Amino acid sequence: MQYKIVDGPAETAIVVLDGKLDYSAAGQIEMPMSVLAGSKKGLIIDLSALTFLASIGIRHLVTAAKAIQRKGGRIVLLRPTASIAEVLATSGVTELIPVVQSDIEARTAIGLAG
Amino acid sequence: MTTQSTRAIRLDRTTEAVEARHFLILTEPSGARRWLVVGQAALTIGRSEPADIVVADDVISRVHCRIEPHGDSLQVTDLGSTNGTFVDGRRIAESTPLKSGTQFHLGDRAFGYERRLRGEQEDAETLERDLESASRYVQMLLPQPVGDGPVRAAWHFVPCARVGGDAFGYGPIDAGTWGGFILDVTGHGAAAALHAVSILNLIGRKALPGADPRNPAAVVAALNDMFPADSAELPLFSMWAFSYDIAARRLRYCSAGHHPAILVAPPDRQPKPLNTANPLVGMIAGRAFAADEIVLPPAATLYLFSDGVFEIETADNRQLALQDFIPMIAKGAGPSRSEPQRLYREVRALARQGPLADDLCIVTLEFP
Repeated sequence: MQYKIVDGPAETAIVVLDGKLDYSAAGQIEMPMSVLAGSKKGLIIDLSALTFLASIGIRHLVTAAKAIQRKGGRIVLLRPTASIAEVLATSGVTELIPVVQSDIEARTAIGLAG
Repeated sequence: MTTQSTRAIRLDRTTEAVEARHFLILTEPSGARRWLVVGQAALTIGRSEPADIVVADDVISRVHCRIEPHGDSLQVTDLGSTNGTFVDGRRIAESTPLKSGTQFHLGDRAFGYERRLRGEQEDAETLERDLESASRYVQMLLPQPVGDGPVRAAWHFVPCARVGGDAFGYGPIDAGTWGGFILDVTGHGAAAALHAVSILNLIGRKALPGADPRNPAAVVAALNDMFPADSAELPLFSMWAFSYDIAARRLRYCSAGHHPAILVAPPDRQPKPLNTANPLVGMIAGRAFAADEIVLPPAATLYLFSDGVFEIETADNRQLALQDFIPMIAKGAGPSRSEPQRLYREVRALARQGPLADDLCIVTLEFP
């Protein structure tokens, strides 16, 4: 798996996850996600190129979401594929983190003007 | 040398402690890993002597491959074996260098290669022995198969090398009720196993405050209150829990962040997914959990399983999903104590060579 972090305006960032987020890849994103959740007010997690999401990856998403939401920040999941969307729904992540399909919706969800 | 004698291969601490050495790591079918030191001489691996490293397994040819130093690392050469030598999942045709951390397989037997200092290797071996102990402890707490009575149960459980967090339980709750569950703690390793053990003990001892064990939604809600995943150290877990009113043949169930269980029942025996829309346990504090129920006809079979059963990668690098596993259930000939093993064999035949990436757990419950 590869990931890319793009800093945005007003203490926001976009995290692009690409490939398989399995047990071994989860270790790569744990620390960066934790740092972002602690330092940003808005996070967009772009899932459009993510092909597999293991439960350990869900745990990191949930941990980041709780950390950022606790301090009044916002997090949003952008454009998951059908199989990833099913995993997010089954695990109930969608109750905690909104899922949107467009860049404009994602920017709005984290408090940036569309 | 044989794999049984590998622990006798030791380096002299006084002269070798600071020198990096080559280690082959053999993963046993049980998931246990054994470390073997490789010196400057080439070694062969095979099923019997004259191979230098003997691994008694029919998938391995008599003299299967050669391992030898290659610059600062090792290289592997297949010696015309029947089932092939695979590096990073691909069958090799010529001598192939191994980087430290690489996995390779002879048939479906897995080896790893690591270049480590002796002290690092000893630490890694100690950690692996601890993980093996954690895995054995989880397995000690699993119930025996049940061959008679109102519910008959069989299972097949294959822990992965790193120890996943799968566990399950079942049995009578009272004279008129049966119950059971399967759970999957997110992550691997000792923390996931410890969490699974805590939950097994709480449910097994009916020690959940205020939760009627006949009410699966109440059991899951009590666990949700008890294990809030407020930090990264407290893992979430998925769960599928049920109770069964024997006289009324009524199955009440609650799934939380877990994929559906599959019911196969007359007259059509078409696989029917059973699930409820609830999040992972520990994710949302104070949440109520929904349950559902269904009356079972005679000769119904319920399949509970962990995601390690279907989240597998095939030999041609396809990622499978739940919808690939359900047709395997449909192919079953009906109730049988060997049904979990049949499903495991089907999954194993599809999966790429080497150990599975996650615990694999299949429980079948028959309601005659």
